[in-house]
Amino acid sequence: MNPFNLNNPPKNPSGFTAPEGYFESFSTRLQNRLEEKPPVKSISFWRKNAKTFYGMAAILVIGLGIGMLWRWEVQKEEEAHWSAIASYVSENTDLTDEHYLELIELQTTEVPVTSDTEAEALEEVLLENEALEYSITQ
Amino acid sequence: MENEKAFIQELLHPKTRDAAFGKLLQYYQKPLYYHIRSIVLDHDDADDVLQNTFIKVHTYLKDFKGESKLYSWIYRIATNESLTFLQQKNKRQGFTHSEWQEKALAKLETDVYFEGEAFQLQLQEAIARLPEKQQLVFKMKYFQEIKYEDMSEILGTSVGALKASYHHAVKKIEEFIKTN
Repeated sequence: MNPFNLNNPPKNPSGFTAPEGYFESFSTRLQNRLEEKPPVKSISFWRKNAKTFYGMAAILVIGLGIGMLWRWEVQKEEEAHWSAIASYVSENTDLTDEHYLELIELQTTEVPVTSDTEAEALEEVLLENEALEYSITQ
Repeated sequence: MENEKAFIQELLHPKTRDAAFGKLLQYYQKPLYYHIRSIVLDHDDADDVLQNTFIKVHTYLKDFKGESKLYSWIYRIATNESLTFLQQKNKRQGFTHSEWQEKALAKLETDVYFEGEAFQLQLQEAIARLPEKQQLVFKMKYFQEIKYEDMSEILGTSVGALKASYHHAVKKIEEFIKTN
């Protein structure tokens, strides 16, 4: 007896059939579907790149947040620094309020800075402001 | 098709497109139907997939670069559509591929559009026991008589691997039929 061989039975023995007239009517049915096929939706530039834009916006918000937080921290540090100086000065000096007032006045006094007159001008300023000379020498 | 390049030009040209598409439909509908039917088994499903295949061909013809044969390109669409259809159907119904296959084979016995004799039914049973890729290769080679070179373009697998796959499939089917 010959062993079973797939090539012995007739070729293409799938057994599948289609209903009668199926292929004759197929093109008409397909044509109908092609006609009712919805038009291809065009996706706008913004929608197409939505992910990129959202990503960029998120990075911008995070960046701004970090910047603001950093500025706030620096400001807090500066405030602490100046208040520490102020309390140090008030604790470690015997300057009176009058001296401070004179110092403030002094800060607003314009000092000529041209090289020729520099030494002369400084001398003049020191002569006019005795309190300043006092604070430097003490 | 005799002059494929000229035919593709006809398909792409607005004036000749409709007539050329009608020609393409007449030429491919039968072989594609049987190719799809051998994968999805049920006639109504094959009808759905065949329509989807031609709609895709119609839609994407303008993007066809001619890097492969038109025949291979159309068969690749049909094969992918069939496999995707089955995956989605099984997902919807909560079946695994083998559960679906078992049910489809049982249905085949009473299917009015299956006129196979006992041997054809047994052959389908044997095919169902093969790994998915081997099933596909066997069906394309045995039922559709597609050349290995064309099959290689359709499935993106080397000719050598396809030959080996078909050889293994034949051995397993013969073994199954002998023992059953």
